[in-house]
Amino acid sequence: MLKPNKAVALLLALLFVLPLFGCSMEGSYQTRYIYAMNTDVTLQINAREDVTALLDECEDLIYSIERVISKTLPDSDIYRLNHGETVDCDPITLELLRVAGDVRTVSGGLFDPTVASAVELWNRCGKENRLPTEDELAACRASIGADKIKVNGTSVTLAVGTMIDLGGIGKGYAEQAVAEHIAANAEKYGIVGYMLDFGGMVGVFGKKSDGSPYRVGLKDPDSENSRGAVRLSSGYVSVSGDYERFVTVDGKKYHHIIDPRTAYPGDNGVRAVAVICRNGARADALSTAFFLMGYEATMAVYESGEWDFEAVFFMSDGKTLTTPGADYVK
Amino acid sequence: MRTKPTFWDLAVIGVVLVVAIALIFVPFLLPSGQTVTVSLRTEEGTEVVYEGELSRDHRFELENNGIKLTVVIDNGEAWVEESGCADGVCVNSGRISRSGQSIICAPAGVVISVGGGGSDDDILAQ
Amino acid sequence: MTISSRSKRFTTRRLCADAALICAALAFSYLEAILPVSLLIPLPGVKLGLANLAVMLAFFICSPVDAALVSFVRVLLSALLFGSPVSFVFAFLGGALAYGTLFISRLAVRRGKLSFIGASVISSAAHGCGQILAAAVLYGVGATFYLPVLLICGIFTGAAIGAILNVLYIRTEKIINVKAK
Repeated sequence: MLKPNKAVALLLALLFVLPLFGCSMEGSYQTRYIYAMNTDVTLQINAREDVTALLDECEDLIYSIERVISKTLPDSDIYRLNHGETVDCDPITLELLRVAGDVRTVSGGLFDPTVASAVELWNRCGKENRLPTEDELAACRASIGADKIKVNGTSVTLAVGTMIDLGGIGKGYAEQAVAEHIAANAEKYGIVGYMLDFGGMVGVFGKKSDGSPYRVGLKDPDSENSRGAVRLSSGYVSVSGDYERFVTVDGKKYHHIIDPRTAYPGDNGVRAVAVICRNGARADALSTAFFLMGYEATMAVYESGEWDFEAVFFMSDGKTLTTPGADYVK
Repeated sequence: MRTKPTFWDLAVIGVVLVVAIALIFVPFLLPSGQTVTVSLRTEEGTEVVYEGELSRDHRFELENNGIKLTVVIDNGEAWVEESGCADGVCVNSGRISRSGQSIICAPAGVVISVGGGGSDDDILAQ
Repeated sequence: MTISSRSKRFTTRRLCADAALICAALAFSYLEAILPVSLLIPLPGVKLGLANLAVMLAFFICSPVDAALVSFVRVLLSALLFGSPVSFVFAFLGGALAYGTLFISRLAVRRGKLSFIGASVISSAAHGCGQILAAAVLYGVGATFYLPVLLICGIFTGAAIGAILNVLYIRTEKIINVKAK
């Protein structure tokens, strides 16, 4: 019995030493989970140092942007504009209006932040379980358009009855502001990479621990899982889909991506479109625009080469279509 | 019948030990997890009492079979901090963070499991 | 339960031997339930497995049928006396797998390749696997994390039981050998 015991002791010693190797090969993500801009926001930073202070700064940054562009906070530029005031706007609001204007132009008017009144109408009707009347829709259509926003220097006024919502592109804007703030502090904290998620609007930067590109899953319109993924090392991915926000009337779903020409939910054969772009606000606005424009019109924009983006379309007929440069994997 | 230890007795011990050690390392090979599910085994069956992202810090107490335990989810790991059960296996199980791992408190009928969301994606755009 | 085996009849001697072994097994179970072993090793499912002494003696001295009888009655009685339906499932699956491996071990022990230490370690490893199987059915596959704990403890407890058996076998064989006419 002595001999076996010695061998057992040796093996046991080995057993206790082995776990010391092989650990901590992978840097771990430090995560901040907050609720802001009416959505769940997750900030994940892979760093060698403790980034609690940096995450605090990012959180403050998000709140400061939210205070300007929130639709619901009474002191925000957007709230005051929507309540008929002439507002001396913050540079953030002006920047977002500029981006919105650019995307409106490229989309032939299909992306328009003034559809907010139509979204409100559909929300109200959803609660009352009825469809909007033709009169209500006509009133909405009359409040939509590029000419309804009057910008004079930093002073902005909306036409009577017009409402705007910059929440969509605001998330992309805030995400980029956070990303740039983290990038500016990357050396200080030894940051390897980071992932940002503003309610499904995603940004990935730097490197994964193993050096491979990030895999950003794209949600399947019909389930909670991803249907495929795009691989990228840096950039923003924004998805607009008919499943995101919707109202139900008599069991039929009406989504919230409104076609400004009809004030009806847009339908161009697209279930969802993901836009990959180096600019957060643009990614956000373009995905809405492309959802309404459909695949063909989007490809025309892509081929013009004026806008730097890639896109993945999940079509109503079940097909998946991508732009040539999108690294889409199943 | 053989009643004196042989080389093969030692070999058997060695094999069992190697298998046991190999099994200890299995969790290290698992992909890191995404979600935490806490469920109770009751007489009616299984009841899920918590479901959330592993990245979402959370701390709560629950009681089943007359046993109270404190579950903590922090910094991408889940564990049982305190338990009124007699054996304390759940507390001694340590922290779990990988897909497929779970902590079981048999006396309380509580299972805390980490799931992976079933994909290799780093993040989901939706 | 009807008994039919190679040992043709259920003689009085054999009946007594089995009864004595069941009693011993049950006493061991009780001893383990009250002994402060759980204070030394506070892990559920980890125990010396003294009851296995009786099962293995039955298997090697009498026959597999006697061992099955001793093991099953012991599991049933101890569940009724000190356990619950859940503990019965655990003990039954553990006991069944541990019992199964004895068939293989017997070949090696008879040929002198393996002593009772090896046979007992294999048996206790199988016992651990059986318990994990029961836990996996009741609580999900995550229960397997506990298997290494049971296996490693099983090496020590199994080897200890085996060492006792090595000494005990020759002495008890003469007392309870049912084949000796």
